[in-house]
Amino acid sequence: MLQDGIIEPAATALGGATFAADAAAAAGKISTKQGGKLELLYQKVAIGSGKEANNPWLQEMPDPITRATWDNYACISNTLAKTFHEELGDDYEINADRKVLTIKANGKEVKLPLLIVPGIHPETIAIAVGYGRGDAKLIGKAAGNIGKNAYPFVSFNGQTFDYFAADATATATGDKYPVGLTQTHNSYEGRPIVKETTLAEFVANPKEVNADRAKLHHYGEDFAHDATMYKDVHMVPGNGVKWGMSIDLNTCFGCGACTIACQAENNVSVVGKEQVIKAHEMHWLRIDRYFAGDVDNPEVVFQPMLCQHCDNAPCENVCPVAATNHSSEGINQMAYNRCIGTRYCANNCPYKVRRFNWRDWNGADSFEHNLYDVADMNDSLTRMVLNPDVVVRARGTMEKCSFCVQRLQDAKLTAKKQVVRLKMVKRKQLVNRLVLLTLSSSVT
Amino acid sequence: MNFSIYGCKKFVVGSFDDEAVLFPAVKKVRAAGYKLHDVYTPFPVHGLDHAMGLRETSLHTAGFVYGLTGTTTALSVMGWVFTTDWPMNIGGKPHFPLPAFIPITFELTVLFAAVGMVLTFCYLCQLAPFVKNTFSTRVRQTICLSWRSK
Amino acid sequence: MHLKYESTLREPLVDGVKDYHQVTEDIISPIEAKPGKLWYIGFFISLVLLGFGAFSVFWEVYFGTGVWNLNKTIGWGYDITNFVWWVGIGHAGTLISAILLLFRQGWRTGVNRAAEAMTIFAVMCAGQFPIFHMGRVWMGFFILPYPNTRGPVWVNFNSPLLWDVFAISTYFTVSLLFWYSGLIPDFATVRDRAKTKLRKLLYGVASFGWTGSTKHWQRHEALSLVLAGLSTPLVLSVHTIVSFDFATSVIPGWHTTIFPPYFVAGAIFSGFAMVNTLLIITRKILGLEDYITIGHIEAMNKVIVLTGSVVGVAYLTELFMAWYGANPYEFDTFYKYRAAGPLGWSYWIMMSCNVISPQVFWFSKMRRNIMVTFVMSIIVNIGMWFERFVIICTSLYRDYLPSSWGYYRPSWPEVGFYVGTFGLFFTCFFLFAKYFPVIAVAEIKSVLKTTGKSYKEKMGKYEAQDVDAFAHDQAHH
Repeated sequence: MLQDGIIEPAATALGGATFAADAAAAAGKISTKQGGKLELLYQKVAIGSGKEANNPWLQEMPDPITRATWDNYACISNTLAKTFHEELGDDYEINADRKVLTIKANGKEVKLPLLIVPGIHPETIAIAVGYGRGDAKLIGKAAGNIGKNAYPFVSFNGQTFDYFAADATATATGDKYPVGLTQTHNSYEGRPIVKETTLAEFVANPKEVNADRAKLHHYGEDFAHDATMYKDVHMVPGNGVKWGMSIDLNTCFGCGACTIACQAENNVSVVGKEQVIKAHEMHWLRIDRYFAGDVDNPEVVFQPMLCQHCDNAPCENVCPVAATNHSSEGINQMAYNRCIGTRYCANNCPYKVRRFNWRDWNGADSFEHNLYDVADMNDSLTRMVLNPDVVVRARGTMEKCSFCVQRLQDAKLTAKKQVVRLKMVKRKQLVNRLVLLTLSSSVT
Repeated sequence: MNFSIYGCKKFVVGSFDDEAVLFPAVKKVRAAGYKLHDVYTPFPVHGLDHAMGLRETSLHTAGFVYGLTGTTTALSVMGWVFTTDWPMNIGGKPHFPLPAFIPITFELTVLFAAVGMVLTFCYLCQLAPFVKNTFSTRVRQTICLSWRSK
Repeated sequence: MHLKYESTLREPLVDGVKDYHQVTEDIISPIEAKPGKLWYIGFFISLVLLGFGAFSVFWEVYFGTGVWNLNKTIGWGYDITNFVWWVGIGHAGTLISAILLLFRQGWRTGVNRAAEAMTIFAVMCAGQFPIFHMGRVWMGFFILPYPNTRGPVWVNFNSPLLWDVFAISTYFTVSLLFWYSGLIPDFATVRDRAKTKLRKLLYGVASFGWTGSTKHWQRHEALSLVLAGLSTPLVLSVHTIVSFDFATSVIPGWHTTIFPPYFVAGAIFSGFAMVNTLLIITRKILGLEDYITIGHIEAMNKVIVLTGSVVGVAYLTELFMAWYGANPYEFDTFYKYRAAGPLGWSYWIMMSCNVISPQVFWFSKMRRNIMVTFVMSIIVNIGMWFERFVIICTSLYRDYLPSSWGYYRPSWPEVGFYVGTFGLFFTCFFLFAKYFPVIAVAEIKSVLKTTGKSYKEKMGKYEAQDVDAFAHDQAHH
C-alpha cells in the first residue's frame, strides 16, 4: 500500500474527507487494472495547489520527503527506478542530473525527471501539481518556467475530481534534467545521530538509549572535563544569563515551517535552483530527513538542525580574525562585518550548519552588476520584507543561526523595563523564564 | 709572486690567481711587519680571516638577541591582547592558552632573528642597493692585497 | 697545506677540467648572452597561463567564491589543495640550502641556488590561494594584528590559519633573505664582468656594493650558517603548522596527530621531485651538465625514495589507526569514503604515484636514468597533489552528519587559478634562469678543489702512496 509519509502532505492539502475516498477508490482500481501504474497527484507542502508558486521562500523550501526545491518531478520507488537503470547509490547521489520520464495517463503526457523516494509503492508515480505555470513574464519570476503542469491529468468522474490515474505508463526519454536537492544522502548510517525507540521500550529500559555513551566512560566519567587540556573558565554556572533551546523530536514531523519562519525573521537569502544544485543554499535552520530500515519500506525520521551553540565551539578556535566567538550568555555569535570568508569555521563545524554567502544575493557588497537575484527579491518593494532588526549579510561572509539574538535582546530589555528581577538560582530555571519572556514579548 | 704596485704612494696591492699562493703571501707580509688592510676574494677562502688575524664576528650573538626579542614580543603582545586589551571567549579556551601561542612565538623568534641579522650584516658591511663599492673604486681608496675576480 | 680533498671513491661534484675562471664563464655567460628560442617560447606560454590565471581570479573576486564549486559541505577544495601543494614544493629548496648545509653535504652547492629560487616562487604561488580563497579578499588585511581604533579589534591567535599567516610570511621572508644574501657575491661577479652600462648599473644595484672583503666574507659565512640554522626548524615548522590547519580540527580524517611529520616528509618528497623536474630541463638548456651531474640527480632520487617510503608508512599508519582507534567516524572516513566511495579513485591515484612508483629508485640504474627521473618527478608531484586533495576533500565530503554529505568537482575558475599559478611560477623561473646565476658561483668555487673531477684525479697519486711515504713527503713540503 501507499506509504503514510507520501500521502500525508497531499491529504492535508486536499482536505481530508475527499481524499480519503479517493485513496480507497485508487486502491480498488489498482487491483482491477493490471500492468498500468497508479499516477497520484499531490500538493507540495510549500506550494500547495500552486497559489504559493510565486513565493521564492516557498519554492526554495525543501520538500519534507524528497528534499527537492524549485521543481516538480516524478516520485518513484527504487524498484521502479531500476527498470530505468537508475537506483539509489553513490552515482545517484553525486549527480544532480535525473533521467527524464515520459508519463502518460488519461491520454495526456508530461515529461518529468524521476526522483527516487524510498517507501513509495513500486507501481506508483507521484507528481506535484502547481508547477508549469508558464512564462516568467506572465506569471512572475519565481513561478515562471518551473516544472511541468500536472493538472491535465486530473479527471472528473461525475461527482468529484480524481487526482489520480490508474492506467499511467512511464517510459525513459533518454534526456536528463537537474533537480536541486538540499540533501542527497538518505541514511544516517547507523550513527548515533538520531536515536529511535518506542515508549514501551524506553519505559522498560531507559538506559538503553544512551548505552553507546556508557562505552565512553572508559575514557573518563566526566567527558566534558576530561577531554580538554584547559580548565573551563568561561561557562561558570550562575554567572549571568545563559541561553538554550530545546526541540521536541517526538513532535517534529518535518513540515519545514520553522525553516521559513527563520528565513523570514533573519533575512536569509534565496539562492535559486542553480545554486541549490551547487549546495549553496542558505537556510540557517534545516530539517534533516533520514530513511531508516528497508529501502522499500523505510521509517522516516526528521531532525531539525541548526547551530548548536556548542560551549566549546570548534568553529570559534579556527577563525583567524575572531569574527565568531562566544558571548557571556552562551551564544556562539558572528560579527559579519569582521568575517573575511575563509570558510574554515564551516569546515570545522560538526553539524555543517554554517552558511556562506557564495554570491551577492542581496546587493550588500559594493561591486556593481554582480547581484545574483533569481526571483526579484531585491527591488525596492520586495526589500520591504526584510527584517530591520537583522543585518543583511554581504557576499563573502559566513552566517548562521544566532538563536534570534535580536529577540533575546528584546526580551532582556522587556524584562528590564518591567523590573523583573532575574534571580540567578539555577541555569535551567533561568533559561525557562527567559524563553517565556521572549515568547511573550514577541506576542505583545 | 706577481706583485704589482698601484698608483698610490703608501700602499701595496697584490693580485693572485690562487688561494694556495695567497696564503703564504699573507703570512709573509704580516710577518714582515706590514699592516694588512684587507683581502678581497670572489669566494670565501676558509682560514683566511685567521691568517689575517681578524677577530671572530659576533653576528651570531646579535642573532641570538634578536631572536629573544622576537620571543618576548610575540608572547607579550599575544598575552596582553587576550588577557587585557580584548579578552574573549574563543571556543572556551582560557585567555592565555600557551600551547596555542607556541607556533606564532616560534615564527616571530625566527623572523626577528633572521631579519635583524641580515640588517645588521648589511649595516656592518655597508651594503645597500645604491652603494657603489665596486672593486676598482675600493682599490683606489684603500690599501689592499687583492685577488681579482675573474 | 692544500691537501684537504675528498676520497676518490666519492663521485666528483664538478665534471670536466675547470679552473676558477672557467667556472665563472660557464655559469655567468648565459646571463650575458641572448636567450635562445626555447626560452622565448617557454616564457610566452608562461605569460599566457599567468594571464588566464589572473582572469580566473578576477572572475572569482568579482562574482564571488560561488563561481567555484565549493559548497556548504566542502568549504575547501582546489584552493587549499593547491596551497598545501605549492608550499610543500617550496620545502625542498630550504632543505637543500639549510639542512644539507648543516649536514655538510657538498652536493648541495650545485643545486641550492635554483632550489631556493624554486622555494621562493613556490611560496609566492602558494600564497595566492589563501589570499584569494577569502570571500572578502578586499578585507584581507583584517588578518594582520595591527593596532586600530575599532574597539580595539585583534586577530585570533588560537587559529591555525593565523599561525599559517605567520608561518608562511616568515618562511617567505627568511627564504628570500637567505637566497638573496647568497646571491649578492654572485651579482657582484656579474657586475665586475659587465661590459654594458645597463648591466653594470643593474647588477651594481643588485649586488649592494659587495666587495669580497675577507671581513665581509667572514660575516657572510656566519650569516649563512645562522640562517641555515634558523631555516632548518623553520622549514619543519612551516609544514607542521600547515598540517595543524587539519590536525587541530575536529573533522575525521583531519584530526590526526601523525600529520606534522607526515606533511613534512611529503613536502620534501614533492619538493625534490620538482627540483628534479626543473634542473633536468635547466641543465640541458643552459648546458650545465658539468655542475648538475648525474650524481646530484641520483642523490635527490635517494631522498625521493626515502621520503616516498616515509609517506607510504604514514598512509598505512593512518589506516591502521583508523581501525585500531575504534572511532567509528574515523573508521568510516578511511575505509568507506577515502579508500572507497565516490572520491575513492583519488586515494588510489595517490597511493600508486606516491608509494608504489617511487620504489623503482631502489635500483641504481633507475636513479641514474635521466628520462626515468624526469617522468618520476612528474608522477610524484601528481601523487602529492592528490594526497592533499584526498586529505581535504575526502575528509570533508562525508563527515559527521550524512544529511550534509556532498560531492565536489572543480569549476573552470578553480582550474584556471591553479593553471595560473603555474604561469606565475614559470614566468618567475624563466626570468631567474635568464638573469640570475642559476648556480652559486662562489660556493662552487669553494668546493671546486676538493670535489672537482680534474682536481680529484690529481690526488690519485696520494691515494696510491703508502702512509709513511706520504707523511715523509708532507713533512718536507
